[in-house]
Amino acid sequence: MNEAQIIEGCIKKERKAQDAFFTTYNGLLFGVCLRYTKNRFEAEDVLQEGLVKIYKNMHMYSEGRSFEGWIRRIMINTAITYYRKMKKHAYHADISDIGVASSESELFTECEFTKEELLNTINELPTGYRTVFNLYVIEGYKHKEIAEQLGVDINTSKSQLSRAKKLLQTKLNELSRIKIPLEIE
Amino acid sequence: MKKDDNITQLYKDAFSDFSVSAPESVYKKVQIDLGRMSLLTWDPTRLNVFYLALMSGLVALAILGVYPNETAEVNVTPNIISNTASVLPDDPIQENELIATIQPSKELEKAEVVQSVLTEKAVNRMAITNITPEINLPIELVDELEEILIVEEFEFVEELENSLETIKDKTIAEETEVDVREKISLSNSRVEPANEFMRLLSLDSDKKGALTISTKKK
Repeated sequence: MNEAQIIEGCIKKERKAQDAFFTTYNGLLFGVCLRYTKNRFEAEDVLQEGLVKIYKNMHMYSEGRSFEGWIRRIMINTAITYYRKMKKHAYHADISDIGVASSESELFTECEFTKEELLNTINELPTGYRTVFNLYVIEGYKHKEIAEQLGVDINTSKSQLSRAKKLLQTKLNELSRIKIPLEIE
Repeated sequence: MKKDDNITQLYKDAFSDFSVSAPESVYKKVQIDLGRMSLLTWDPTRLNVFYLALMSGLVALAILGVYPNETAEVNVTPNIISNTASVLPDDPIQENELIATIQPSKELEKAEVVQSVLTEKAVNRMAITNITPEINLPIELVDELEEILIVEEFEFVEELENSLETIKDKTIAEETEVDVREKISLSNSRVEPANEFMRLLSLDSDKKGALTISTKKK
């Protein structure tokens, strides 16, 4: 089944088309969910919610636009909604509590990190930092858009991005310290 | 700034085409959710809660439609029975026979009686036919009504026969009275000559013509 057939079938609520859609796009969508959530269980919840939205609103997709971009956007919005729901319970760690390695920041450039390792560093970020970092760095959103999406001030978005990057730098430095001795051996 | 750019580029490159296979259990849950939603959403091509509600309503109507007489019987039966109590047999042959048995001298009187009865019967029958098309009477009630009709028919015939006998008796009695009167008048007309005859014979008689033997000596 090609993309058009999948879309047409999903609009008609055909089970075969829905199966084909899941088979084709589940990896891409689950990857998005994993980046926006703390762990795999949360990612599965967001994926489930997002898939239902996609199947339900498939008729709203207009031809000419990127289908992958459209479903990705739905999944991101679902993740943001999830973030807003969890906002009350989210752990807002202050950068001062965590600490930043400034002088050792070049260390991580010396070694390569796997996607899994990078993903773990993102997952360890506080929810707000993680969301802003994903939206700005990976999705390419502007701070104004992020502020509107998350319902926060633009400066909050900027500061959270900055803190997120510093936290990631620290984590990568820690990770590279562990990895380099192993590589030398 | 350079460090920030390095981090940004590192993550951008790593996750631009990031893909991880999702477990099948997620898709099963999605299908359950979709099934639940389709049940609650109006779709003319699929079974949903609206169709179920419609079907339930139709079933309820069908059940009420099958047994409407049980409820109607309670209210209607007494009226029907009271109406049928005065219903008379609708047998034209029998009616003709009854009319034929009427005495010629009392024909008009009997015709009036029968006419009034038939009119009343027609009115009652009309009342029943106006009721029964609207309500399907149960078999038990129909049987009951038939029995009532038969009983009423017999009672009507008996009543009519009794009335005929009464009329016959009355006629005979009147005729008898006429005969007696005629006899009395005849007897009266014969009293005078008899008295004269008695007087000639020197016999006394009372005014009524009864003979008495006079003890007087002339």
